[in-house]
Formats: sequence, structure tokens, C-alpha cells
Amino acid sequence: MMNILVVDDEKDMQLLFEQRFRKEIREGQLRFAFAITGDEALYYLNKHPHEIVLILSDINMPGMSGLELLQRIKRDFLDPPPVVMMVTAYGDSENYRQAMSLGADDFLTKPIDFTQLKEKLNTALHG
Amino acid sequence: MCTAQNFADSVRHVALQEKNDTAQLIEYHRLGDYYNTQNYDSSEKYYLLEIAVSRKLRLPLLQALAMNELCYVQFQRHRDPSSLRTLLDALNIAEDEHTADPPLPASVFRRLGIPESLSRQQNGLRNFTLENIHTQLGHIYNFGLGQYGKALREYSLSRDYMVRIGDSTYLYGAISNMGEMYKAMGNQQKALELFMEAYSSSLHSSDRKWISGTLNSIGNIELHRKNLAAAKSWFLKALDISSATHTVPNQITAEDGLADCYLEEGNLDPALRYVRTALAQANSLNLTRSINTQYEYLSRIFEQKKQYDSAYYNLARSVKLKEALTGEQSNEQLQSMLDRERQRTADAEAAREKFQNRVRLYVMGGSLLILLVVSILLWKNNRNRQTANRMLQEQKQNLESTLAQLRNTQAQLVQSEKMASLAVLTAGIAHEIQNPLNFINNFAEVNIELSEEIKQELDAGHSAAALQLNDDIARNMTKIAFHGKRADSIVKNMLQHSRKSTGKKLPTDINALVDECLRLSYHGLRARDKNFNAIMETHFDPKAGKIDVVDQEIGRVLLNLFNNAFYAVQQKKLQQNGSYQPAISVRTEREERSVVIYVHDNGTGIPAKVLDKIYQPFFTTKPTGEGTGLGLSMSYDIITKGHGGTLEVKTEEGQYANFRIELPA
Repeated sequence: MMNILVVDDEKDMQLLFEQRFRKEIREGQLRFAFAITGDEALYYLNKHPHEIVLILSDINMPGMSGLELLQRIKRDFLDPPPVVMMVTAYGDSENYRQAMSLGADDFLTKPIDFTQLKEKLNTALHG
Repeated sequence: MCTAQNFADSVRHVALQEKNDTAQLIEYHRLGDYYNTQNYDSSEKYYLLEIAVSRKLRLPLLQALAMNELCYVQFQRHRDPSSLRTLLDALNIAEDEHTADPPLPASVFRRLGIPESLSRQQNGLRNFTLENIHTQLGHIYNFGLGQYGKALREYSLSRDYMVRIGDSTYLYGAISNMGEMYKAMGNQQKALELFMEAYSSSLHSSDRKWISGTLNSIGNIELHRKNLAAAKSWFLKALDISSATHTVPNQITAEDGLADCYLEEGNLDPALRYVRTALAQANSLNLTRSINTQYEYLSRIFEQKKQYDSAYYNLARSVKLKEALTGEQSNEQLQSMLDRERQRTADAEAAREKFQNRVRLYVMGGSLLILLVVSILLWKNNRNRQTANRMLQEQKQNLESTLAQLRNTQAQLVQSEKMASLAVLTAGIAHEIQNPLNFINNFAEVNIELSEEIKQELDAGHSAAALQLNDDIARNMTKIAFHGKRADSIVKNMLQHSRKSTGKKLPTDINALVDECLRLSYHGLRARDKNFNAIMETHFDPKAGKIDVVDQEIGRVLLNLFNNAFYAVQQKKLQQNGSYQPAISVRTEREERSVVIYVHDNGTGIPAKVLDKIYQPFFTTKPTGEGTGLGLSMSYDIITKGHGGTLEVKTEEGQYANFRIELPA
């Protein structure tokens, strides 16, 4: 059972993920948690240590940006260090470069291609 | 107080009582003099009576002097160069050596305004009469016919007669008039020599009043030669004398001359001070042409100060005035305008004194002496008036095309500001749309899968499961529809921002508007500068609710403030980098009768010395090409004039800026 945290200010992301991953959820392969701000994400991580193995985070959020969240996760949560993938509407090369230089493990653009996402998750979680 | 009517009545009373013809002549003369600045009809009447009496008494020289006066008045009234005939007749009489006046007592001379010493001089009265006639002829050739060579000759003769009779009081006037003729004919050097001679001569005069005009002329020549220090000193002398003697038109010319000197040096503030003083004076005397000149100066100065709004404003006023001036083409209107101007000027009083002293000298200091202006208008014949009209027409056309250019430039700038903010909007919107699109596409794909699953469940006979799936499909459809509408409204908003505002105030959810504009601004800037990032904090008062505003306009204001805030923090980041974290915070608060919006950034702040300029159009601290400087100015107008609200800022240079918008609810 892999625990994944999705951080995005769009509330409908939860409904979308729960449907697009309904098979995986039903089969107990994946479990999703959702946070709508960076602060909430950190709070969750602190409350459930060692659980989350992968984080999918938007970049443009009010309050703490996804890139700041990325930095903090990479700095403060080392046991185990979760995989962090950025999911954003800004698919330009500069954003990509910045995310990667801050330690992001991957970078996806919206609208999300769930087929591609599932492939990446597989690779990241199962090697 | 002695009114004109009382004075006239008392004089008439005296004249009627004394059967003495000479006394009658004197009284007619004084009445003619009295009215010749106010009431041309009365003045003419009395001079004609004076002429009749002097003919009856066989006093040809006095008759000639009276004809000289009559000629002047007739010109004032009809502007008809055929009045020249009267003057030439007077000249004939005065030059005729077979006629002479019997010696008159000095008291008569005195009461007629003729220097008493002349009563004891041989040919004193004749020379005095000729001096005056030649001066008048000079004016006719000068102002009336533009024949400067002939005018020069007349003024020169006048000067010779003055020397001959030893009347040095206004000798400087004659010399100065000669100088003006040389200047008019293009010989600046000779003109300057004569002006200097006039100045020296004036130092011995008991009535130096009119030298200020000459001093202005000298100033103008030095200015023309770019001897600015000398020019300034002459204009200051002119200003001294004209101030002390209340010769306001010459004061105005001196002030304009000084403004020109400072403008040459690029020293705009003293120039502005002088022009403002001149404008106040021109206004107080209602000197329309002079007022117009001051507006033109102001427009030039503000243009150089890059305060284009003020430049445009003054230029517009000048054009309006010029239109009003050229509109008055008809004789009657011109005459009544001239009458009003004459009556209102202080120089009317001075001229009256002069006439009573029987010496009339219109010294053209190259200045807008109101007498000069009036005389120019009076003494031109039809041909010259047409020339003047043509010149004015050309000037008017030039001004109109300049005005059109200025208007055009202003419109372009406003447009480019709108385009700039539109570009920001478009970038922000493109990204805003990705989010709803994400849901539309993905929920649709999910539904395709779900409908397949429904079929499988139905095939397997699991109708309950199938119904459940159907509910899921329905719910997803709702989401699709919702996000579809959201995308639609984003696009509509973008179109609205680019369209002209309808100006109608409609109830608008302020929190929603602020939030949307903030996101738009942020995304727009991020789209252009990938490096950019900032913390955004929002605190929306749930009680803010809806207020009546024109949402496109308030949206534009908010975008402008957000863009500025982001720019400021971006600049600070470039300066500091390191641990500096750009942060913008936006807050709404509902107050009793209004809604307040705060936009706070921790950027470069606004320096105290530019704080009073930030709402001025075209003021910007951004480097050229990076901002039109119209944003805050437009925002200020929208909030205050458009919505009756307030826009204020608290700031500390290098630390923060906090803008506060208050909108009446």
C-alpha cells in the first residue's frame, strides 16, 4: 500500500483522482490523501510521519507556493525522503528548470494525462 | 468722487457761464481730451467745436493741433486711413509761414497742455505743433500702413523739432520710435544704438515712464543675440520701471522676456514663476492676446518639464482663446472689443494724462503695450487687416494641428497602457483556463470508462452497481458543466477587459473580483518572467458582499495595483536575492458604509520625494519602455472620479507599500 499526498488548491482534484485511480484504490494498491495548501500538506506530513511515499503538488497556489513546499519537504522530511512530482499549468522550460534544480523528481503539466502519470508512478514506486 | 459726468457737467457749466471765446476753446479742448479714451463720439464733437472756435478766433496753429487730436479720435473710431487727410491738412496749416498765431498768454498755453516756455519762443508753438503732427504721421505710417521707412522719417523730424524747442521730456520717445523702425526694417544694430541713446536721454527726463518699452526692446535684441545675462538685466530694469509706474503691459513684456531668458538656459522654474505672474496681470486687465501668449508659454514650459497633461491643457486654452479672437471679425465687434480693452486698461489713465499734456508718445518697446495693441488694430487699413487675419488663420491652423497631434499621442499612450495590461491578462488567462480544462477532459474520459463499466455490470445483472455508476457519471457531468462555465467566464472576462467599459455600476462580489484579478495578475507576470515567484496571502472579509461598481474598471485598478506590487517585489529580489522572500498580501474589510481593499507588498516601496507625483499621468519610475506611467493615474481617476471612493498609500522606501482603496457601498 502506497500512500500518496496530492497538494492542489482545486478542490475537485480529490474527486478526479479518486475516480481515475478507482481500480488501484479498490485493489488496495494506492491510498490518496489531499491537501489544498502547502501548510496543510506539511501539517499532514508531520502528523503522519513515514507514511507518504510520493507527493504530487501544484506550483501556483495561494500562500505557500509548490516550489517552496518542495524545498521544505526535501529539507525536512528525510525519513524516508518522499518522491515529489510537480503538477502545474505552467509547462514552460524555466519552471521546469527551477523545479528540477530544487530537487523535484518529475514535472507534469495540466491538463493531466493520467495514463502518463500512472506510468511515472509505477516507475517511481516500483523501480 | 468726481465722476465723468460730474466733471463734464461742471466744465460745461463753466464754459457756458464765461462768454469769453478763448475760455470756451480751452474748455472744448479739455472735454475733447477727457473723452478721447472713453467716448469717441463726444470727444470728436468737442474737438470739432474747438476747431470751429479756433478758426473763428483766427488761431490756425491751435486749429492744427486740434485737427491732430481729431485725426487720432477718428482713427480710434473708424480705423479709416482717409482720416489721414485731416492730418495732412493740419500739416499744411502748420507749415504755412504766412499764417501765425497772435501771441497768447502763457496761462492759455498751460491750460491747453502746451509747455509755457514756448509762448516766449520764436515759432515755439509752430514747432510744437509740427513736432506733434510728425509724431502722429509716424504712427500712421507705422501702425496704419506698415511703411517703416516713411515712419522713420516722420519720427526723425519729430525728434528734430523736439530738440529745436528744447523739449527733452519725451525726446527719448522719439529716439526710441526711430529705433523701432530700424528694428522693423531688420537693422538690429542701428536699432540697438538708438535704443541706447534713448535710454541715456531718458535719464534726464522728468517722465521716464515710457522708457520701459525701450528697455524691453533692448532686452529682446540681446536675447536674440543669446547674451542672456545682458538681456536679463535689461528686462529687470524694464520690470522695475514699469512696476513703479504701473505700466502693466510693459511689465508683462518684461516678465515674458525674462521667461524667455530662463527657457534658453533650460531653467524652467523661474520661467514658470514669471509667466504665472504675467498671466495674473493679463487676466486682471482682461488683455486677451496677452493671456493667450501666456498660455502658449505655459504649454511650452510644461512640455519641457514633461508634464504633458498640463502642457496639453494650456495649449487647449490658448487655441480656444485664439478661436474666440479670430471669431470677432466684424467691425462692430472689433470696435467694441477695442473700446472695452481701452477702458479697462490702466494705460487709459496714463494716455489721458499724456493728452492733457499735449504730448503723445506711443513708445513701442516691442511690447504688448495695450495702446500699441490697440493702435496696431486701429491704424491698420483693410489690406493690413487681411494680412493679419491670414496670419492668424495660419497660426490657428498650426495650433490646431499641434493640438490634434497631442490628442493623438495621448490616445495612443492610453491605448498602449490598455494593451500592456491586456497582454498581462492574456497570459494569465491562458493558464487560468488550463485548470478547468483539466477537469473537463479528465472527467469526460472517466465517464467514458464508467459507461463501459455500466454496460458490463448490466450484462452481469448487477443493476444496483450500474445505478451507482450512473450516479457517478451524473456527478461528473455536473463537474464538467461547472468547469466549462468557468472557462467560459474567464474568456468573457478577458473580452470585457479589452472592450470599452459600459460605465454602468452593477452589484459585484468584491472578494471574487479581487481574487480573480490577483490570480490573473500573478499568472500573467509568471508567464512573462519564469523566475518570478511570490507568497500571496489573502484575507477576505466574508461580510464584504456586493457593492455597485463598474467591474471592468475596478478590475483594471486592481490589476494595476497588483502588477505594481509584483513589480516592486521583483525589483527588490533582483537587488537583494538571498533570503528575501517576496510577499503580497491582499485584504478586504467591510466597514459601515464602504468596502476597503488593502494591497500590501514588501517590495522596494516609494521614495518620499516622488510620493506626490505617483498619481500624475505619465509619471513612472520604471525604465523607458517598461511602463507608460498611466496606470496609477487612470486608477486614481476610476476610484475617485468614477466611483466616489478614495485611493491612498502608506509606504517606506526599501521596505513596503500598502495601497488602500475605499469604495462606497
